[in-house]
Amino acid sequence: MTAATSEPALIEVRGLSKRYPGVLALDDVSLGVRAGEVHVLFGENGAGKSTLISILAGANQPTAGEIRFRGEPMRLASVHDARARGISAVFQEFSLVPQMTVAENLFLGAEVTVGGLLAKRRLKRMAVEIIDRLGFPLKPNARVETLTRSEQQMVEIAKAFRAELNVLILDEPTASLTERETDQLFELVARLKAGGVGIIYITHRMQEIRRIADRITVLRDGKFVATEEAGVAEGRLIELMTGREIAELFPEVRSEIGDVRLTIADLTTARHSVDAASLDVRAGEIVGLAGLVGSGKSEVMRAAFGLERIQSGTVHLDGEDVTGRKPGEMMDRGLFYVPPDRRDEGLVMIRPVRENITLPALAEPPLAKGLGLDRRAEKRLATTLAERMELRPMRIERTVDHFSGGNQQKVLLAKCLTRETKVYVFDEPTVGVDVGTRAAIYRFIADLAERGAAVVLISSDLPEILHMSHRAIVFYRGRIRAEFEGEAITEEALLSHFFEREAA
Amino acid sequence: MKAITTFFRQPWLFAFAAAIAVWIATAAFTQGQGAGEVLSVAFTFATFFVIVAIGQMFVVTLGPGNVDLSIPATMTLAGTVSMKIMDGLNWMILPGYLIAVAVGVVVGVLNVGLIRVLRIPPIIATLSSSFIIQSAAIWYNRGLRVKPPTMLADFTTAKIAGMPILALLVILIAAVMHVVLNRTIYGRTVIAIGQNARAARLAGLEVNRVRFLTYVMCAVFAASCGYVLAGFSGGAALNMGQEYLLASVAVVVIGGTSVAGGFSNIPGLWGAALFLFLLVTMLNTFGLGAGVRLLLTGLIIIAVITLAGGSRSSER
Repeated sequence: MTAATSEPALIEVRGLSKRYPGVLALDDVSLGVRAGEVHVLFGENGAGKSTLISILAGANQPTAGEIRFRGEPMRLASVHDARARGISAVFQEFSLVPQMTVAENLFLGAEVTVGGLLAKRRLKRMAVEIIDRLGFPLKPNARVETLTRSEQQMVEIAKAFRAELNVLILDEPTASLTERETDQLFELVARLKAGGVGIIYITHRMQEIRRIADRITVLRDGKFVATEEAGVAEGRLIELMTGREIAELFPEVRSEIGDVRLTIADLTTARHSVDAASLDVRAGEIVGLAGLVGSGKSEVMRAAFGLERIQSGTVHLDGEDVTGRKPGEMMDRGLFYVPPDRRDEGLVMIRPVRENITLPALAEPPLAKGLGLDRRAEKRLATTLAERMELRPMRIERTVDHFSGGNQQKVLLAKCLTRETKVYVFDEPTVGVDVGTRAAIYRFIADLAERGAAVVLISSDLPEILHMSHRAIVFYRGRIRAEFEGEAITEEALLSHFFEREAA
Repeated sequence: MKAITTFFRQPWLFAFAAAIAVWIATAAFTQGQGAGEVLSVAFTFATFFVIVAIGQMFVVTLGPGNVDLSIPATMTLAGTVSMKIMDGLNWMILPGYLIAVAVGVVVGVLNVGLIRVLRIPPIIATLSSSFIIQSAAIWYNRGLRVKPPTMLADFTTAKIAGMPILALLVILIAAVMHVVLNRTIYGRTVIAIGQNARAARLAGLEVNRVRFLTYVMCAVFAASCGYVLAGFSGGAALNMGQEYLLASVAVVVIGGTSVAGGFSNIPGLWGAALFLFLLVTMLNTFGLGAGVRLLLTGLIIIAVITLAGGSRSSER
């Protein structure tokens, strides 16, 4: 194979396999990561990237194969074991204790004691040292639950620095970061590289590969496909990843724009996350909402859907005043909100796909028969929608947590097809899904608009907004900052309204 | 073939297997003598366990932190109040039962009120409400033991071919509740809330209403149990609910319901209740001292829960 071994690898895996009951998640994978390189793992959801890094981080044991660290075979019994050798991972799901402070979390499991008591002051000082070295804007005494997601990620990264660091594993670290925070992260990555740290980096974003990758290893269906040098053509990577060619990521939206469906007027939420925002959405139109995390782009639609308390302002759906109605009532009237976090708000992970898909439609005919459920109708509906979303594998009785991220997302999207809906709101619909599924999701959204639905697309992914929206609205600190239409929607135009204005 | 494997994956299987194993062990010890009677008595007492456990199971399914600790007090209050009001009169049996149900509804509303309005965690709320309820029972009853109406006593102790009529009735109720859990919007909502209350809310389900209904239902089951138990044992006693606190939780867990919410099953309640009673009977038959008996009871319960839990995690 092409895994170059001319230079000695810092960490290397040979013939690594992992078998779960009924699935071979990793199949004889070999690759090496050199000191001072950023090695990107690239592949569709379910390709085996997560399994591979969980083994390298000590969280999972391989069924076969070996791991070599500086040429020596080694066994990583636990995450702690791996950390002791300077191998640290930052997973998408954080392992932080929300009620504890930043400093306490940093040294959780590695506390320093004096005579059996915690050396609190020393721990805090050590925490400050790490935070300062990394240049993170974190307060050591802040409780983790009060931090934003990106700040929590910083804590998670900082944890890796409490001992000498040799290998840092980052699993889609920018998924919840703003542009500026991403820049900071990349600066840090550059510094670590210079210091000889080997970095294993998982991402779906081409832009990031272009920016920081030294080598890219592509996995597909648990197998090693190829290791490419930086500068490889994107088309080639996608071909390697999917095993086929993908014509175009973004579809052309050919819809006819009709009457106003949803009108939000002068809306202010009770906790002022949104301040006097007004917008409307027409039938057949896709309106993109852009802005930083916490800028109000998501909150405004959550408030309209009845998930946040409204202080003043109104929400009208097809002319009817629906201000302050509950989510169930909003769905009855034709507004459907698809949440960004499928684990947290979207899906009941340990229940079957069938139950998840039909959850919003339970209380409605044809599923509801009096107080009872028509199980045959339920099964029929779930099957139809799962087929329409091309769920893979097509097993609706399987629990959701057994599916790959992209397929979980398909289940989440299928839910909004169970109800007759006039206005669809998608909040970060493509977070953590592979390119193949992304293309499918964009096609799905375009289809809805072409069939006459009004669509609101909330996204932190700028290309998504640029390519999909008829109109784009930028939020900043709870207010609407700017609005662009058609050709005027450019990256530059949008970005110039994202941040504090230097000089007005 | 597939049907067989799914059958063996049922989490309630362990509870029944354990119950049967314990029964056989007892019968072997006595060389088969009285095995039939033991089973008949087991059904009699398991019935009371199952009545309270059905309600507790629905509450536990609501998700982590949800449990009703006021069951014993509710049983006592419903038992004492209904016995006193019926005053041994046969024609009062039905009104007496309705009074017991009303007691249950009041308790349920009180519990939900504490949980929702005052935002007290369910475990504390139901524990503190049980003090109030128990005190009410003491105050109302003043230590008097009123005999149940003769027809009620006869009904609760009646048997057909060795099988208690009450047990048959509760098997029927359990079957109905099984359907409620698996085939109604209410049941599906309980399961969804237990696993992801936010997803349930976003799906437009009535989360608060369902929580309310579930706690009230649990209290009504407890009250009903207090009513029939008082009828069965010749009147209500202030400590009649005592062993039902642990029993209700143990039966739910041994029966294969996940304490983390979102997974539950009714058949397991019957297996677990029979197992619990037969286990104590077996240890009694073996003639062990009280200390050893309790120790073994605890150890065996842990073993069964571990076995049942193990089978479930490998299945997923």
